[in-house]
Amino acid sequence: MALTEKDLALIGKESEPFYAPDDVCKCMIRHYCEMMEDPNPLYTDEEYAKKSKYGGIIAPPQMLMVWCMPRMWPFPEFPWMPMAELELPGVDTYIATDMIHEFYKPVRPGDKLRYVMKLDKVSDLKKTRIGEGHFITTTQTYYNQNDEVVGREIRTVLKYKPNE
Amino acid sequence: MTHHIVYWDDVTEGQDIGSYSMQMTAVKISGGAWATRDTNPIHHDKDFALKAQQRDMIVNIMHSEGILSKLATDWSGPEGELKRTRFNIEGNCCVGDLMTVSGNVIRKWIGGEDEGFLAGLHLVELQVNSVTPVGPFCNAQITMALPAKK
Repeated sequence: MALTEKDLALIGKESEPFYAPDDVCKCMIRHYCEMMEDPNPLYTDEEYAKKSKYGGIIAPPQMLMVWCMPRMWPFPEFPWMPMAELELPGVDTYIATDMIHEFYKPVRPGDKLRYVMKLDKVSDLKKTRIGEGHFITTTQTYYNQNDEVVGREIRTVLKYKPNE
Repeated sequence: MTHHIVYWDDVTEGQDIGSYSMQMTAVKISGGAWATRDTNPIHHDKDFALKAQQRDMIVNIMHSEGILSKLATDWSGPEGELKRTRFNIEGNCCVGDLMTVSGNVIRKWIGGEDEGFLAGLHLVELQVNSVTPVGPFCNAQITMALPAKK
């Protein structure tokens, strides 16, 4: 099946902002580093971080997505997202195929993050190894409380109908 | 405590950046998923994972990316800055698997004027791979900025 008229109209649209449920904090940074076994002193060693060019603790840049993960309870109300509005008849299964993360500015304890999602591209129906589907590319742009862009995630997923 | 510094000038393309192994257990996988706020039961509930045709509970994406990024900054020392990661999943990593990550430098350059936020920086690109005894798990190309000698 092809893209519907509604699908085509959604390409290029941006979501409302989604806000991180918590401020960036040292506790979550330490829990993260504990599970990754990451000894980088910028993340957990106050004394080292204070003397560094950052002047204090920073969050691991690759934690960007973690801050904005939705709560399990009470489950948040999501803002309008173009990705969720896609009709794409005949396909129902998702798989992530490619992710790019870019880090522009340090994220620090106390920061309040949010992101907006833009629907960049939806391919025509393509044949793949695992089934026919559409490649969907979105960009999530992350902002801090000063409206600075701190990083970006460009993600491609395949929404497909698995082969019989 | 002092920390090592890798200077851009001393890096050569092809250079090995070392390796790191982590024994995956149910606690480690569920803990990594909680630490990245990923509540999908496929990372916490063995019965659910088996029904989803996995061998067991699987390591989540943000946990995997964290371990690949850790290898990069373990190699560079804290002066190395993560700038860009391109991440790709090839297989899975389950309870009982020994995950091993290793990598090497695939490119060394100074960011060009057309490279936006990378312009003027002393850059390296690392190829970092994660494998289990079952096969390839995931990999990333990680761009880092390193300090340069005067």
